[in-house]
Amino acid sequence: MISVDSVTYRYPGSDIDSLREVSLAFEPASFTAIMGANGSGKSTLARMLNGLVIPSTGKILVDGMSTADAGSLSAIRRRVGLVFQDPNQQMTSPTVERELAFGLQNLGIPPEEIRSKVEIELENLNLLSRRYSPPSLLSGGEKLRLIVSAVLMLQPDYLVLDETTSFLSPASRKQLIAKLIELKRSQRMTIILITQFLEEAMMGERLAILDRGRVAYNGAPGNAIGNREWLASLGIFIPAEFRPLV
Amino acid sequence: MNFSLVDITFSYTSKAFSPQRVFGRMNLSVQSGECVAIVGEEGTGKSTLLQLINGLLKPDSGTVSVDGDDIWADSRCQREMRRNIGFAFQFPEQQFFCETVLDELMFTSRNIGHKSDKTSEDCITALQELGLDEGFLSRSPFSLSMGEARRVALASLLVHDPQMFLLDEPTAGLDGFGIDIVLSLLVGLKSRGRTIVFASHEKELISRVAARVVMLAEGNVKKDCSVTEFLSAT
Repeated sequence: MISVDSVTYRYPGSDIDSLREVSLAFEPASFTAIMGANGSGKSTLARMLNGLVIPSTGKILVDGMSTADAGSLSAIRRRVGLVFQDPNQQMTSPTVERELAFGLQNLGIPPEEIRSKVEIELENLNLLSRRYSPPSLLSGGEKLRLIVSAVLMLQPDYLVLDETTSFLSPASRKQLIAKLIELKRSQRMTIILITQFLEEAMMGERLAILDRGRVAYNGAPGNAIGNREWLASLGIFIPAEFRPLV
Repeated sequence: MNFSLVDITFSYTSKAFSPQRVFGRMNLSVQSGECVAIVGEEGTGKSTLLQLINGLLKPDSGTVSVDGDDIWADSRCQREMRRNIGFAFQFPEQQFFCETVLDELMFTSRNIGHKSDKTSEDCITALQELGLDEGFLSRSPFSLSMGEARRVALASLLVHDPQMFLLDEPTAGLDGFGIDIVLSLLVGLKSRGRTIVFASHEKELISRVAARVVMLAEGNVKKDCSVTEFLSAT
C-alpha cells in the first residue's frame, strides 16, 4: 500500500504550497484516478509517490518504507513505476530498442532475457522497423506508448501515469485504459491515473480531486459526477457526449 | 498568406539509422483565413506537417510555397513568412528558453524586430486572455505545470499577433477552464480572419474551430473534407 500522510510541499523559491495537508491511501490492486485543474499539484504528487520529490512536512510510505529515507529509495522506485507527463523528460537512450532495454539492464537482467522481452515489446508497439531510430523522432503519442512499455517491463507493483493519455488518439486511449484494467486484474497492479478525462476517471474505483494543493474529493467517481457545477468549479467539465470509455 | 505544399516527400534521416518515411508525394493547400484541423493516429505525420509548413523541416523533394514563392528557394521569403506565423509546439517546454515568463512572452517580437513596441502591458493582456494573472510574469517558464506552460506558449503567440497560427495539440493537458478559454480564443481569432491550422484528437475543438479537416494516414492525405462531413463519419 502507498499511504500519503498529511503531506505539504512548497517548491524552493515559491511563496505558495503546491500541496497542503494531503492524505490519501492507495490499496494494492486498486485503480484510483486523480483529477484537478492545471497547477493543482497533481504532477507534484505523482513525483512524490516514487520519491522524486520529498515532502516538506508529512510522509509517504510505500509498503511501509518512507520516501524520505534515502536507503529505501532504490526499493521504492522498483515498486513504483512513474510515467511522466512529458515523455521527452524521461527518454535517455539513443535508440528505441535501447530505451526499452535500459531499465532491465539496470536491474541486472540477463542479456538474452532482455533481448527476447525487447523483441516482444517492439512488435507490440509496431516499432520493429524503427528499433535503431532515436526515440526523439517518434511522434508524441508513440513516445508515450514507448515509455509506458519501458516502465511496465520492470513489472512495478504500482503504476503512476501523469496525464499519459493527453497526447493519445481516442483509440489508443481506450486501448491503454483497457490494458490498465487488465494489469490490475491479472497482476494485481495498483493503478494511479492522473487525467483530465472524466470518462477515464470513471474506470477507477476511486477518484481523488485536488484543488489548489488540497484534497477536495476522495471517494467513488459516481458520487462526484452528480454535481456538475461543483465539478466545473474545480476545473472538471462534464463533456456533452459523456459516456464510459470501455 | 496562401500556402501550398506540392508533391512533398519527407523522411527523417541520419547515418545512424535507416530513413523513416513520413510523407510520399503529399499535396495540401491552405488559403488565407481558413481554419483547418489535421487529424490522424499517432505517427501519421501531424506534427511533421505543421513543421514543414513553416519551414522548420525541409522536404526531401517537392515545394512549399507561400503566395506562390518557394520558401526554400528564397531565404527572405522564409524570414518574412515566419514573422507572420505563430507556432505552438506539442510539448510547450520545447519552445521555452528564457528565464522568466515575461521574457518568453516578449521574445518573438524582440527577436524579429518586427513589432518592437510591445510592452509588459501587452504581455499581461495576453496572459489574461489565457486565464492567467500577471503574477506569472516573474516565474520561470520551466516551473509551470504542463497546462500553465501551454497557456503561456499560446499567450506568447498573442503578443506577437501573427496572421497565421500553427498549433500542435493546443488543448492537450489543459483542464476544463483551459479548454474553454482556448476554444473561445481560437473562435475569436477565426472571426478576425486569422488562418489557423492545428493538429488535434479533440472532437469538440475540431467541431467548434475547424471548417475543414485533413486526415493523415499511410504517409499521405487520406481525406480532405468539411468538418460536417468529418463529424458525420465519426
